[in-house]
Amino acid sequence: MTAAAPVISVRGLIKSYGDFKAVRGIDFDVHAGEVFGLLGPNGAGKTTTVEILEGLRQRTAGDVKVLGFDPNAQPGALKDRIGVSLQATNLQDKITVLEAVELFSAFYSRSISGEGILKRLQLWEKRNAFYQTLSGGQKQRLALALAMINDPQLIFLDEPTTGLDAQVRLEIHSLIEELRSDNRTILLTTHYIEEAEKLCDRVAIVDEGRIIAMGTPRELQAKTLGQSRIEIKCEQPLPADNAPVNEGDHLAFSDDRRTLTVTAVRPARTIVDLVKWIDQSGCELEDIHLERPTLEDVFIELTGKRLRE
Amino acid sequence: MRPYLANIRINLKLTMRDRMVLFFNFAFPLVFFFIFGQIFGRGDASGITQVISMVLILGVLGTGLFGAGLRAVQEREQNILRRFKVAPISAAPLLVASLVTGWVTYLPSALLFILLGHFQYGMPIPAQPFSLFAILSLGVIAFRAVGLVIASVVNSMQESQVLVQLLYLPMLFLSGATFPLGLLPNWLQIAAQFLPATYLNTGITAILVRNESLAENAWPATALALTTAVSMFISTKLFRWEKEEKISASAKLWLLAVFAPFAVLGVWQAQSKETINKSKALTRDIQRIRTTFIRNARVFDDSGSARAASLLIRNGKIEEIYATEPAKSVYEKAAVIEGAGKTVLPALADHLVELTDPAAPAGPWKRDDVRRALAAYLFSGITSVAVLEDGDKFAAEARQGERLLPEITVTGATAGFVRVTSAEELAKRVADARVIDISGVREAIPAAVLRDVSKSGVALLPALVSVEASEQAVKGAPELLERGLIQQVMARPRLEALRRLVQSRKLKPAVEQANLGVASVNLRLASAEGVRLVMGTGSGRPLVPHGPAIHRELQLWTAAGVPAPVALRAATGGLVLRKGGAATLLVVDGNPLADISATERVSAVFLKGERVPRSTLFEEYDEDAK
Repeated sequence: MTAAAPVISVRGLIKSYGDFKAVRGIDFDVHAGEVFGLLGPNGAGKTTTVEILEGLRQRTAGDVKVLGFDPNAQPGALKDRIGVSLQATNLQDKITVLEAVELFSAFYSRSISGEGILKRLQLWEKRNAFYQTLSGGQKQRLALALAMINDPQLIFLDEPTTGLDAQVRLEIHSLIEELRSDNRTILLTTHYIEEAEKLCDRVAIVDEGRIIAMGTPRELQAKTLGQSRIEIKCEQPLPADNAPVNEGDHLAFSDDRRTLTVTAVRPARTIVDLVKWIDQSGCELEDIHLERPTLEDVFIELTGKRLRE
Repeated sequence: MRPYLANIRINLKLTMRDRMVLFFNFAFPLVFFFIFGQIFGRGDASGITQVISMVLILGVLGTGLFGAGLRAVQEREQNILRRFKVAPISAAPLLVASLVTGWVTYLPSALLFILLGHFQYGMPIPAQPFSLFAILSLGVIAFRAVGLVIASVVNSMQESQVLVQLLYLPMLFLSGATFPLGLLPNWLQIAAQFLPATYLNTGITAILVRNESLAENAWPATALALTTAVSMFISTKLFRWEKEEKISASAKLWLLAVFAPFAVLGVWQAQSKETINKSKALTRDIQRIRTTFIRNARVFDDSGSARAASLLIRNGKIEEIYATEPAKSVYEKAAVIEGAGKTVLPALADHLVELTDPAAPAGPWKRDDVRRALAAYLFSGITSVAVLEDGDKFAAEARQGERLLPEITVTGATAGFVRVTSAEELAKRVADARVIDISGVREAIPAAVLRDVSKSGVALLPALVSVEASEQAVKGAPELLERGLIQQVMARPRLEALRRLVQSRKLKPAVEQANLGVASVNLRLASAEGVRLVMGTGSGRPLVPHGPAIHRELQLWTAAGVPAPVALRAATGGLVLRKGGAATLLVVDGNPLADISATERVSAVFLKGERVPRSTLFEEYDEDAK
């Protein structure tokens, strides 16, 4: 993290539609080179928040700066500098991939080679295919191509993998990771836990228009009361006594005493203690497995409901 | 500039790939073209010109309303515009691209129809191609812009469909594109003045048929340009990128703003009737470019005799006179009149007409009465009348072609027209007159006076029928009224009133102590002395009916001893039938050179190539009587 001004800065953001408050006071910063995720269920206010930042919607209240621009006041200048992949969008049925890229590149004050970007996104072979003939994954890659056509330093990806099958989702993930390695700043919304854990440097969990938790995935997991599970397997049965028990830990042996399952509050320390104990008792360690609490657990704990219902 | 060009380019490509566009631009008008071409074209230039302007307008309306109106809504509904919203462009490049695309895709279809009309049905190539191009361009861009406004005030495809149809159908049927405006009831004609398509139609037809320029159609052109400007302003203001952004129902009222220029034009037109009259005149012009072939008739030519010949009439002119019957291919696309037993003459001219009521010369005489009387001339084969006074307004009507009327020239003292009542007066006025009406002269004119007249070149107008009518008025004998053609031509109530008036001997004669015998002798002597003679009837004078009186005049001349060719030459006002001349003709049954009364048996009358619809000529005026 640098001392420079954040790429995105949001303070007290509120968006109301009549009586309905879609966003109820959100604050966060996104820094240069960071992949920042907004994680939350459908209708949590993620898309509304992102679309306000993109200059698509007017906010009701709050201060927002994106790349130093106020999206309400300078939407044109802002849109010229960012890349956007929208959630629900389409192109004309009979536009070809290459035509779409060339069309959109004409809208920006600077743009990169359409050929280069299509090759990079493995769409070059499909350049003359009509939009209507593309698969879901190809459409999403084209959306990414359009989002990158102006070589933006800040990219908004709204639910980039929703509705795609697992294989294609992985493809998109690796593309996003590639973008991250270019040192671009990415704001991503998702309701997939794995996606947030895998791709994001920092995550804000959003529910009912509020951020209920924010931090790196690890920090969030660490904050939970949920416990990690340690599973240890040995060649020989473990001794019946002197097993180290830290405060809050719970131990359970299998019937043959070769497998030990521990739920731990501070798993790192517990593992060190356990490994020492097994070593001293002369047993041979066969396998050790640590299962941490997921962001799902964090979410359930914070809201009392599951992410996807 | 780049976003504009890129959008135009892609829009054009997408349009070319869209089957609906091909359908509305080409297939749909093409079907209309062939169906109506078969019905009305008949290879004849007038019908096909109407069909062409119809399909041109069909294309403009389709490209504009369906092309822009539906497509823009579709792109919003399918979340396509959303993607454009996150790009740094305004609505303007999208809207402009739609206008340009409509324009570029429309023009080839317009060209196709004009060429098809030319090669398939013999329509003349437009003489003002630039003006036609300009008015079509203005039209298609204006309607495209209207389509965009429709797109911006509706919330769904369904609403858009309804609104498009609501505009499309009336504009198709009331603009004159499908039916001539003149056929519609009066209130609909006025309602049509509020539709942009009416102006477009009038403009296109005027340029196609009349070879008018764009400048002569400045009003419609300006209104179309204004519509474009207003529409673009409104659709920019109301442009929506996302289907979730709904617009209030009252926003549809913006459409009214689009039509504001036409509301102003419409109110003005409802007063002035300029466009209504112009479209009637255009219908007239279209009639005049019809092709007619008169086969194997007796043709009265400039030699004063009659010979067998066939005539081809096209574009208002006598295109050719064939001494022997030409190949069928020459006239296969024309309306054919079988000429056997018929004689073709130049149409007649009556050189002395007073626009008054022959039953009550001093009484009230409404404008429509005058128009009916003028129509009676056409019915009787007279296409040109010289009126003493009060003819100006009708002369203008006739010239502009808004009504089918004979050509009217206004004579009078300033034109050198003089009426005398004695031989002495005649001798005096020879010096300063050009035409002298001698119907009032009750004495024999000395030969010396006639010689002077002959030398001076002044023309005498005997109006024998005025003299005869005066005799009958005095006698209370309405014989003149019993003649067949008069019975046909005069409105029944007026005929009855006139008959009663004569029988009661209350009708004051035009010529006191009239003496047809003396007048006839004067005419014969004048003819013998070589005096220039013109034929006029003095119709409108007591008991001299408008129209058929000239046939009686012809009979009185031959009875007086004037040879038939001389009398006919005087009655046709010097018109001759020649190739390239105006096709203003009278076709009669029989041979007037052998029996002058044959002129009464009118078979057909042509005015500048338009066949006068004799059977329906009085309908407009006799509606009350029916």
